[in-house]
Amino acid sequence: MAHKSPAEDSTRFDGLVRPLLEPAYRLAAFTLQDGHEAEDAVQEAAIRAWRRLDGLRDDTAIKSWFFTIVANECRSRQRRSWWRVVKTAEPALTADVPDVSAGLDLDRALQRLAPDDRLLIHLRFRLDLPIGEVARALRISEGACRTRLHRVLRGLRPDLEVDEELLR
Amino acid sequence: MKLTRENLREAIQREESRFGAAPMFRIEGGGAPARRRLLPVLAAGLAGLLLVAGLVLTGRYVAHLGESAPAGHGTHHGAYWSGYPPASPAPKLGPPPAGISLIWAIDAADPGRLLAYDWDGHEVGALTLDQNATAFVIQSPDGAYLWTEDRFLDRTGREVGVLPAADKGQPVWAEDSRHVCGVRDAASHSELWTASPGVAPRDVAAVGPGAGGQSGDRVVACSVSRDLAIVYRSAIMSVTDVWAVRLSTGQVVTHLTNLVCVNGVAASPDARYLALNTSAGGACNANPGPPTAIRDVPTGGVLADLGTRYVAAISSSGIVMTGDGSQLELMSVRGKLLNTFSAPGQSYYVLQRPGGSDLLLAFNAQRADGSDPMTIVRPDWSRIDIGGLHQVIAN
Repeated sequence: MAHKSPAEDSTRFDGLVRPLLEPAYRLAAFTLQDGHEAEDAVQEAAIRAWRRLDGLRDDTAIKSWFFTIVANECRSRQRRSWWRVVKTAEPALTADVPDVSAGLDLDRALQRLAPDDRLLIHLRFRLDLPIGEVARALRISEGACRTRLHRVLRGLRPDLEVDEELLR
Repeated sequence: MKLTRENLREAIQREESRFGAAPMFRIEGGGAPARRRLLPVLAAGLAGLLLVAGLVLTGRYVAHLGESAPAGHGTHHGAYWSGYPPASPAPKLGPPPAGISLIWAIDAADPGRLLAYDWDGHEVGALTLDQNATAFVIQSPDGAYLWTEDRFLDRTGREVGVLPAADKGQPVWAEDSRHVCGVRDAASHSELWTASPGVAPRDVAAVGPGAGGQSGDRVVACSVSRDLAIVYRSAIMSVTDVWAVRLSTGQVVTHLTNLVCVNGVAASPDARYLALNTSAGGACNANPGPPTAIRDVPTGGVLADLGTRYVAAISSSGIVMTGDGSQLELMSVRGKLLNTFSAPGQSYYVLQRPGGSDLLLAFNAQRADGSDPMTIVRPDWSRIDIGGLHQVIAN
């Protein structure tokens, strides 16, 4: 691979990663349930991404590449949580949370998911990554990813029928 | 009604709205904030790049840049001077021996591998598991068993029982290292249960009415020998209730309710001591809350008021760990200051040596290599730092 100048690297990094910072923050906040932790996670992921930029051979793979780094950072932070201590979730920063009572059970179920399962759900249904890229981000096989997805969706609302489209 | 992509996406968006936009990374309305935030990143990267380029030009440097990335590279293990070849890799240990208490950690260089240390800080074994398993593994207090999201393993990695979290909620290991306790949602209440590796879960008691809304119940301590479990209920902004329940009969021994300004709970593994952390802000709407209190669980009586301190953990031997910054304080349950340590990180993981007073402390130091410093503190306050690159297991 031809060596790029630092200026070229900087331009490349800015063009590739910058548009992904906002969705990366949403992914981290949803996974970690903490806005400040999420901001730190994305910052750290951006630093790691910069250091590894030479390893990215195909710029079109930037989404799955960067979200993999963000997902790993979230998992790493989750491991560092306190023992037998729970700091409750921070209050909402925006007051305009829609009151959709029909969705409350689903909201509650999402909050109770394990962090890895929240990562899975967000990568698949919010960031719309293909199942293979979700599996890569979570460092599991595609088969294991499908199995986990199936389990998580069935467990979210056992009383609801799961649209088969979600499992594909 | 069906669970569809649309209603799932809407629920995720509602959840995201709780945390607001990312202020430091926001790019709409001008790129300056994001640029300022990324400037240190770019500067650090650029400086590193120039340094590496200079070293390569001198011909004295050999770098192994096998960063883990989708391009198929391996894991980065750092770099070394060509004049000093890397030490031979340590021999790969097998499963740890039986009969000793173990401290498990994740190999920072190989997230699918668990390392076992004894309470002198020596590495005594390792297990290679599926990376899913290491992501949320919790160890029994003596380290003889592990639970990995849906199954129990013994110290050799052999499966010795099944317990899916999806059915029961996440368990907490009991003090005896042979049982776990947890709370699950029932139709109209929360149900406290216990289980053992290889033994099906048993419901113990109904705890309060159903949690409902955005609140949830969790076990914070469980002791078979003292026949007690401590369960707390948390909502979005505060802890509202704490129950102490007899495991044998399901009798509620203590119920603290209508708690004010409590934003965190810690308990000793034997379920004897309980700390209710309070703070201004949040549920207190910035008014000063009541002091953080240490309580004796069987009676509910207050043993000490700790002011604005935040209690991270309490040992069964009655040592209270407080601090949320660079300074860590160890106190008695009566509030007497016993010792202070400077901490390399802000948050810590604590494990008490079964049957002893040694404590393992692990710190989140935000090291570049992703590892967490781990230290064993003896009753005489001497300390043993555990070497190597490891991360704390989930807890």
